[in-house]
Amino acid sequence: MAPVKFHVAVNALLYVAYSITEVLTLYLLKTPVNIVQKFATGEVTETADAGVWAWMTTPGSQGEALLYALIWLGAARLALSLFAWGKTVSQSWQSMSMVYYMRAAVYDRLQRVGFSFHDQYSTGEMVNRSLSDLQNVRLFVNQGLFGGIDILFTMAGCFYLFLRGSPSMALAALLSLPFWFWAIRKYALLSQPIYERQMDASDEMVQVLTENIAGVHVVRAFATEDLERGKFETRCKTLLKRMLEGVNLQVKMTPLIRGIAAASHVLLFTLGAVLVQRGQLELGDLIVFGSAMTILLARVQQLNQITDAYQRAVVSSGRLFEVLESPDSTPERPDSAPLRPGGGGVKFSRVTFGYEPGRPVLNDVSFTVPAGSKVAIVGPTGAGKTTLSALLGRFYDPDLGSIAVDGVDLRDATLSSVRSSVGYVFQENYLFSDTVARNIAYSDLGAQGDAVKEAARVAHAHEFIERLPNRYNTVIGEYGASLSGGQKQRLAIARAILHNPRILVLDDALSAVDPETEARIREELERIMAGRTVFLITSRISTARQADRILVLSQGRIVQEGTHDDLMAEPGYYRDVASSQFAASEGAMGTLASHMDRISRASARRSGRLDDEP
Amino acid sequence: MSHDAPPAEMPRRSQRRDASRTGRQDRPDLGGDLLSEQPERGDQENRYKPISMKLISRLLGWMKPYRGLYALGVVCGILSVGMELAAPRLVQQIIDFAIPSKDMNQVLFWAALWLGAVGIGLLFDAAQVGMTNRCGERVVTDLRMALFDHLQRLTMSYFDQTKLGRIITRGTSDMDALRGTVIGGINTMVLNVLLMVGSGAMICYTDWRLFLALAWLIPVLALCNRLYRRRIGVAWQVIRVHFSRLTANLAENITGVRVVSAFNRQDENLNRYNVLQEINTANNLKAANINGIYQPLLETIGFAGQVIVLAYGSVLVLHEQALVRQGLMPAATALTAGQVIKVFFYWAFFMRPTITIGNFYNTLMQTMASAERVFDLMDMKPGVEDRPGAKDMPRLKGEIAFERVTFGYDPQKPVIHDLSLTIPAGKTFALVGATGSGKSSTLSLLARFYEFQQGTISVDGVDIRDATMRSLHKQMGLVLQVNYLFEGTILDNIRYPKPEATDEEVYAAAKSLGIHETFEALPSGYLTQVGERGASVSLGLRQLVCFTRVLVANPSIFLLDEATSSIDTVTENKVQAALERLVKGRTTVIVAHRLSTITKADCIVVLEHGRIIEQGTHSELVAKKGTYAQMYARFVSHQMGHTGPE
Repeated sequence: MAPVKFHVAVNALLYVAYSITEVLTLYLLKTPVNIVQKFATGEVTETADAGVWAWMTTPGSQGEALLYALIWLGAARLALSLFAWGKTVSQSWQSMSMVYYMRAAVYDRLQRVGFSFHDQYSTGEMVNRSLSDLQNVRLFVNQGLFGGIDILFTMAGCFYLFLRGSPSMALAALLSLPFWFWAIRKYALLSQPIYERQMDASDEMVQVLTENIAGVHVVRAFATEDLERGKFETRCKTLLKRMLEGVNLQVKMTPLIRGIAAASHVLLFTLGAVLVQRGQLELGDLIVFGSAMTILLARVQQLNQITDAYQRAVVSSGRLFEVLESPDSTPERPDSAPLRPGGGGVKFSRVTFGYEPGRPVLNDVSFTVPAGSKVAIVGPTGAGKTTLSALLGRFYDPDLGSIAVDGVDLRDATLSSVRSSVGYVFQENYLFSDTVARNIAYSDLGAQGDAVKEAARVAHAHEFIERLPNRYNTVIGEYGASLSGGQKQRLAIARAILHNPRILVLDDALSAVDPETEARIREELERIMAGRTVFLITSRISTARQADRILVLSQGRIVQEGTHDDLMAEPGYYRDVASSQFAASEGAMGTLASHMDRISRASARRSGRLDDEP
Repeated sequence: MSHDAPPAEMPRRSQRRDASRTGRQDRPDLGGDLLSEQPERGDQENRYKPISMKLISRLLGWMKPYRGLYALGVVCGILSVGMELAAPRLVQQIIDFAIPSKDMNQVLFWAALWLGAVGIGLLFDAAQVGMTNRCGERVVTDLRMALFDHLQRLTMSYFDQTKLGRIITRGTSDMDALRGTVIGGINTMVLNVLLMVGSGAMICYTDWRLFLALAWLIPVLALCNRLYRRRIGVAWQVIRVHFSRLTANLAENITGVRVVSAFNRQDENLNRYNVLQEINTANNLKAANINGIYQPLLETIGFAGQVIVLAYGSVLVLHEQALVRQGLMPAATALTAGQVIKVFFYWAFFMRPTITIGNFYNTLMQTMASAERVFDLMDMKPGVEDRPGAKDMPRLKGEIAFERVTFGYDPQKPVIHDLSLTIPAGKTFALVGATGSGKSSTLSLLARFYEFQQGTISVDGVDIRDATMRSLHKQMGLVLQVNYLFEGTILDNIRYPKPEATDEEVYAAAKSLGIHETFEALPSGYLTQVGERGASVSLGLRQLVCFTRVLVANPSIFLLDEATSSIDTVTENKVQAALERLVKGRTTVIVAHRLSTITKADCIVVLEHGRIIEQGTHSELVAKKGTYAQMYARFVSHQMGHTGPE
């Protein structure tokens, strides 16, 4: 794409040319009208009895003047059409190329800015910023910059016409403008709060609708349909009231605004007619002035739209720049180098971190994990387990302390090398609306089909993928096949395997997979991850006990550390939880998820009767 | 202005892929035949629909209640058009009589008349706008409420299958699309056609020769209009389809930003986004080109008319005025300059609606798509409805009986086969089994969320299909795996089934479940905001709110689909304790995942593939050494950590 500046320059030139030509065509209308007038008043007594063509080619006659006037008018008109086409296309060019760069910038910023930013804003809000806010800015650039050029040149041209014809007419035309401008401004000011109230009312209506549908089970279960109807009706009626307020304002203000325009038009024409009567003005000028006035008033209205667009653009560009200028939450140092090769040794040194200042989630956490070991992190919900794993991939930087992988402080390494070294599988895994194969090969687009299949096999996903309608080419996500939680987890595991990390973080990653498959996946992982590091985040003792080392996290601190046997030997959280989980008797608590479910699934699978999915 | 983004809509995706342009580029080259097939896309919503009279008349049907007001509005509109049409006649008067009369009062008189006509026209126009808009807004409100009402009766399968966003769109952007047509529909057409016909007639009345000289432009105009509409329609469709792809890509990238970062995909994703952007740019340029050609073309036709009027008009004036001077023609019938200028103005009036009508046609095509979607939804059969003559259930004892019930979400694929089960009043039954064994479906059937295909389900001996759903639901408390809370305070949420409940009643309910203190201990106590869908409070707390909510409703039958998610031990204890109190004195059916729940049940029902395979108390079933005993043994051993490759 050509540079934006070039498009802007071309577009501006075309606008100028268009405005000038528009005024020119107006001016050229004058001669034919005058000629008609001269016939009417009997001022000219030529006849076309010899034929129209002969009359029009008679040198010095009004016929010839008419012919030339029409030719000029036609030429101007042709030019005007060309300029009109040119400015439409060129404006589209320039605005599209501008918006292209802005959109790309926002998009890129959003995917690199870091999670602290994303934690603050909802998805909808960010989508809005990248679409509607950008649209507002663009509209202003179009309307403000080019509309401004258009208005300036057209107005100047019209006044030139007036001044040439009759200075008193020019003055009269000028007089009406303040009234007109005042009325439009007033309308804008009065309608602004109404629009805002309309939007609020609409939001409330949408909220009730959304909640009703999202909570449809609750509504049905409690038979509160009438209550919901009542709520919705109230919101709808409020919205209707607000909409009608807008209609009322429109009914009140439109005749006023258009009345001012019409009155100034009529008055100008009357003044002109009187001047024509006194022989101080030609009829052609009068018609031209009338048309010029129409154009002038249309431009004033545009001026108002520009101020409106300006106000919106100011707000929107503020919001856009908030995105574009937000600093990286995990900036890369200029001298950063890729991580050194290694087996994934991890060292946390006195790490303190919180999402909000003053409320640390991790408190002075220190531990060392040698490369190639299996570490379990256990603890109650909210203890900071997931936060700890997010720090490992440098999604956040610690407030205090440091984290090193294979001896290199994460802040000294390039972000991409850190991210390539750590693979994540979460309890809930986001998959993209794309094919299964491309979801697995998400981090490595060059991956061969065999590699994809191999990763799927390790994750025990290959079998169910083969049973999908289009196997590896089945599109998943909103408009594609829906997958169960267990299937999604297995795809996420395959994706992480293909990523080939030196550290693999499994954050409650096998919670939706039945125990036998879980055991088989673990076995495969052990083979593949040999010599590399695995973090198991879990609240299940049966999972934790398989680790070389267990860290017990509570309220952001490591409270216990050791092997399963070590920890069972000392009183504390771990032993309490373990005994409560092992006590398969009355009062047993926290028997995680649907074990019953999984066990019977596994047995059913053995007997080969159960499809993988319902 | 150009039209980069079509009117904002929910991000959507369309199935029609423009393979020639994008197919290759936006797919990674993964190599290997397993990645080479073209992926399919579902759903296609952004289509332009042909104008369908059926849809239009159906839409108009909704205007019936307001037709009087609307008709009055249209009459006002017609009067305002009439006033507008009077103006050029008055201008002619000024030019032909007032100016030559050399009497300034004449000029002022006619100008005053002109101003008066314009003023009255504006008032009529304002009245027209007020009345038709009033009707339109009311119709949209009616439609919206009818849609909502219909949603309250639709079968649960619809909500299972349809994305939330899509349903919301029906009530929001689709309604907004309808608004344009409903408000502006009739009067835009009527008034614009009237303006064209009126000004055409005035031209003809003024001078038939001028009319004929202009008349041939009309078919040219119609042809241009037709070509334009078709082209710009297609161009817009393409823009929308691709733009929605752009939006979807953006939304997905933001939603999945953690995965994007974790897998280092930023560069690749930006490239793909830019490919979509380039397509979008090209599409917009195409549309701009069409507009850029058409608008000046239309203006040129208008201008050709002007030239014809002025040139041919002056020739005629010249000729006839000469005849008048020679006494060959009476002055009264000869064409005057004022008349030519009048025709000049009428021609401008004639041209004005061509753009308006073109735009309106465009709106109408978009409306058709929206109208079809809205009416399709409204036509959807509710699925589960009260039978005619269904009776309100009296206060239930709570005895439940399933008799040979067969059910499938898809009738061809039953998930419950021939299920018979009797649950005596006041007992607690636990349903256990694998995913897909039909536990949750059994609960849903009892709640009458779905219509089963065979058998009967009765409560206190009455077939639930003979009872009104309202009376049934009022006496059933249902807590689902996903604990949905409405935005608002904890107090509001507990009170949800019984809005008239006092604060004291709520406290009493919480106290009787032993969790009053838990709520009180929150930062704002019972007035703590739970956030959107309850997201700001913990899972465990949400469950406690749901339990208390059920107690406030005080149902005879309690149905619980136990959550599988893990919560911390302290809250878990509270949940279990509350549950024990809640089930007392109620018939309870629990889809159970927790061992303590299962062992405490009066009866355990083991389901497999929609059939009951075992039934009895925990100790009975363990003693029986059947499937349950096996499951239990494996469960215990798994808890002890002995699962593994061995």
